[in-house]
Amino acid sequence: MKILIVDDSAMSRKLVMKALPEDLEAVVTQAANGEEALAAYHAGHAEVIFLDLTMPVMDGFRTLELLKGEDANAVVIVISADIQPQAQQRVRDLGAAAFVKKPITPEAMQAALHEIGLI
Amino acid sequence: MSSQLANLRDEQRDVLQELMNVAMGQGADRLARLTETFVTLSVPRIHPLDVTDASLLEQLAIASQPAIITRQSFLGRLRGEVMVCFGENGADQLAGLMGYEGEEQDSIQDELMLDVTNILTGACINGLAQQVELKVSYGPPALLSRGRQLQDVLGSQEFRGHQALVLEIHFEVATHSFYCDLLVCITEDAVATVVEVIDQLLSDI
Repeated sequence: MKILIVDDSAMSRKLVMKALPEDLEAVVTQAANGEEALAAYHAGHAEVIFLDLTMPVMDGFRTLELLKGEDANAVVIVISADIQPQAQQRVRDLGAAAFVKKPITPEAMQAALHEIGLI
Repeated sequence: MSSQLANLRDEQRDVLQELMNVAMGQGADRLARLTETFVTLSVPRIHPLDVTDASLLEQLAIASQPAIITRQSFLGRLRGEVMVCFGENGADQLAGLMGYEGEEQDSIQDELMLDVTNILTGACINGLAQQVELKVSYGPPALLSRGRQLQDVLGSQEFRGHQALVLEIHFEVATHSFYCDLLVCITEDAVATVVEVIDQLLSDI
């Protein structure tokens, strides 16, 4: 499975990788903002995208909007510290498959992947 | 300047910034619930500074603008002060946001700013303390200054001996033109604790 992790924090990207199930065969690409994420997506590096919301250059809301505008079937799991109910509803409305609050744990990752039928 | 905070490596700074990002997400959530609005959260940026070094303070956009500044202390192994900087019209904006008008708005302004200070300080410092497994307690919030510049306030004697994690974090309710910025000052002796925790987290991941 090709996984794209989008977050401006290197530590957060590491935590996402660490939370992935050990038995998941994944090729992971990393991006530090929305623009890098779109480039990686266009280059074919993403079947599942883990997306932060609060990022410089292009935030997660805009990135999600553009991704889903291009490909309604893009699988995007939002991982964010912005836990406002309105933020969670907004990403759902934009087409995110799941919302996971930071800091992510293996259990939360498992639940999110299960929720969208990937494991 | 030879402080430990100023000499953080990039990866240490990244960890600290992400810890604060998670903490401030909780702060935005609590502010949103209080005001029944959606709060836009900026990307937090951390500049370790010596709060008494005027040349470093000039880097901050908020330092040279007249502001209403509140404060709240926190105690424990993590010890220091949080300051919340409201814009010059922040009190009016906040009262308007909360639905107060006229004379009622004037009388409630200070109380509202102290409530917001308490909410943001609690969320910010609790959020940080929980992640690094430290316990903190709090003093009451208070109005520190009205109409003075932050750099004048920080240059005063009582803040000597503090270093600052300047969180250039901006909470904004765009529909009501309300915003505020946060400044976290920690004491010199608490800095070692913070750095120790950051290094532990780095070794864990």
